[in-house]
Amino acid sequence: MSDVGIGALCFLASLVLIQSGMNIGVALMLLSFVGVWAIKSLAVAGKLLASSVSTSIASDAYAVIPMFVLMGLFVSATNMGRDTFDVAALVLRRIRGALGMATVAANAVFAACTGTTIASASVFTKVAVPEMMRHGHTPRFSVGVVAGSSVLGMLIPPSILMIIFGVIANVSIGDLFTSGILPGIVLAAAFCLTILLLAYLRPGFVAVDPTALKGEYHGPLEGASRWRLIVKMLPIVVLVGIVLGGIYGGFFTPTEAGGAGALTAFVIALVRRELTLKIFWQLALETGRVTAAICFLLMAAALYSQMLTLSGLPYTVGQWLQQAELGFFAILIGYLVVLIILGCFLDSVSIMLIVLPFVIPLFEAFGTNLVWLGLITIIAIEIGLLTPPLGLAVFVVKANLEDQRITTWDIFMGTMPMTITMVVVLVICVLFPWLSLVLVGQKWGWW
Amino acid sequence: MSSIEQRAPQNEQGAPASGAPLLSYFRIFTQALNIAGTLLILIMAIAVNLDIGGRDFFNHPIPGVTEFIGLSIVAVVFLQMANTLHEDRHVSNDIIIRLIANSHPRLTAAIYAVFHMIGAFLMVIIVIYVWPILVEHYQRGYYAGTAEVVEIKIWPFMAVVVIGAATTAVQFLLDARRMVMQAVRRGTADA
Repeated sequence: MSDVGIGALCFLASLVLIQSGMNIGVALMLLSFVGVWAIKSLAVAGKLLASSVSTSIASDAYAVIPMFVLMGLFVSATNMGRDTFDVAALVLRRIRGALGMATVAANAVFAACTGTTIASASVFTKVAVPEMMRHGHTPRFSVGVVAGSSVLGMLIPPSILMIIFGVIANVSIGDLFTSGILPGIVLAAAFCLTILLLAYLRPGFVAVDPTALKGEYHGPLEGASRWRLIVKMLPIVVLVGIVLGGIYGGFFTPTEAGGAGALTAFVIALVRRELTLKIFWQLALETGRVTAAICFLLMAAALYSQMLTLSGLPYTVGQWLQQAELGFFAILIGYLVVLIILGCFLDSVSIMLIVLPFVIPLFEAFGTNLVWLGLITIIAIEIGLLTPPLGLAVFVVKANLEDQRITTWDIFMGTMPMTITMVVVLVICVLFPWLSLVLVGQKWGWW
Repeated sequence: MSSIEQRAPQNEQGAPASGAPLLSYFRIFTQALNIAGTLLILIMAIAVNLDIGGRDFFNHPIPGVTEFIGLSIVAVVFLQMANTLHEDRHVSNDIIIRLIANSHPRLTAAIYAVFHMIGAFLMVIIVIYVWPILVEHYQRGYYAGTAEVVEIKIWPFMAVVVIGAATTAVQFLLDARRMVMQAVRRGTADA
C-alpha cells in the first residue's frame, strides 16, 4: 500500500475507533504508531512515540492548561457566578427579557474566568434556571438560554479549545486569546438581541406568564444600594482584569496569567470563606485529572500529526483540491460545514485533534491567517455542542438540572434560537476577519 | 464517562480474595502517584507566581522556573494517568456504545475488555521505548536550564514517565479483567 493509503486508512480507522467509544488518546496514539511503523520502520515508530510522550509537551507553554483549569475550578467553587447573575438581573430589570439577558451577561463575564463551556453550563444551570422559572419563564427558554450562552466559555478567553488549537497549529495562544474578546462580546450581544426579539415577537416561547416579561424582579439584591452591587462585582472584575489585562497588556504569558489568576481566585475564595481544605484538595485533584486527560490527548495528537505528515496525505489532499480548482472560499465553507457536522457526533477536542493536522497545511498554503482560522474553527465546533444528537453542552445542562421533568429534547428546542444566532455570528466572523484580528494587531483579509 | 464502569463499582471490592492484598497495595500506589501529581501542580502554580513576583517586584526572575514547569507538566500527566483512568475521566465518545449497553451488556463488556487490553499494550510500548531515553539521560546527566546556574536533571522526569506508563498498563489490565468477568458471567449480566 502507498504511504498516502496508509495515512488515509489510519485517518478512517481513528474516526471509527473514536466513535466506538475507545479512549481517544489510546486510539490515536496506537494508530499513529502502527501507521509510522508501516510507512517507515518499527524503530522510527518507537522513537517518535517516545518523543511524543516525553518531549512533545515538555514546555512551560503547556502549563497553561493546569493553571487555567485550577483557576476555573476555584471560581466555580465560589458563588461568584451567582453574584454576577444577581447583579446583572438587577441592572437589566427594566428591559423585556431581562433575566435571559442577565444569564448571557453573567455567562460572558464568567467565561473570562473559566476555560470551558462545561464549567459555565453547570454553574448557570444551577444559578439561572431556577431563578428564570421562578419568574415565570418557560422551562425550554430557561435551559435554552443557559445552554446557548455557555458556549461563550470557549470563545471568551481563557479557553481550553484555544489552547489546544494553538498547540496543534503552532499559533500563539496569547494571540488566540486576544482574538476571542471582540467576537465573544459580539456573540453575547447577539444572544441578548435574540432574547429581546423573542420577548417581543414570541412571548409565548419565553414566558408562561406574561408578567414575567414586564421586568419585575424579586431577587436577593432587590433594593440593594449601588455600593453593595459594586462590592459584589469587585472580585470577578479584579480577576478578569488580571487575566485579560495581563495577557492583552503584554505583562503575562498565558501560563503566567493562568498562574496569577489561579492565585487570585484562590485568595478570593479564601476571603469569601467559600473554600475548605477538603474542597481545596478536591479541586487540586480534579485539576490533575483534567490536565492528564487533555495533555495525553495532545501527546497523541503530536504523534498523529507526525504520522500524517510522513504519509504525505495532507499534501496529496492539498494537490487534489488545487487541481479541482476550488477557490479558498469553497474550501473554507466545506471545512466549516464538516466541522459542524462532526460536532454533531464527536466532542470538540477530538474534532480538533483529528481534523487540524490535516487542514492547517492546506490553509497555510493559501496564506490564511491562522489566528482567525482558529477563532472561526472554535465557533463552528461550538455550534456542534448545541446540536443533536451529541450536544455536549446540552447534556451538561441536563445533568445539572434539578427539575427532571425537563427533557433533553426541551433543551435542544430551547437552544435552537441561540444556535441560529451562533451561525449568524460565525458568518459575521468569517466575512470580517478584522473583528478577530484588530485587537491582536494583525491585518488580514481573504477577499 | 462510560456508564458501564460507573454502574459496576461493586466488582472492585468483590474481586477474588487471592489477588486482594496485592490489589490494595496497587491502589495505594496509584493514589500516592496521584497525590504526588496534585502536589506537583500546586508547586507549579506557586513557582509561576514566585517567578512573576520576583520579576515584577524585585526585577529578578527566578532562574529555572520555566524549565522546571515544562518538565513538570509531563510528570503530572504520567503521575495522574492511572488515577484518571481509574476514575474513568479520560476522554471518550461513548454515545453509540451506550446505546447497546442496555440491550447487550455482555457484548459491551467484551468490547471494553478489548479496549482496555489495547490500552495496556500501548502503555507497555511506551515503557519499552522511553526506557532507553531514561537510561541515556541518567548516564549522561542531561539537564535543562543554564549551565552552572540552574541545572535541572531530566532523568527523574523520564523515570516518572516510565513508572506512570507501567502503572497505567496494570490499571488497564485490571479494568480489562473486570470487563472479561462481566462478559463471561452468566445470568446476572442482564440484571
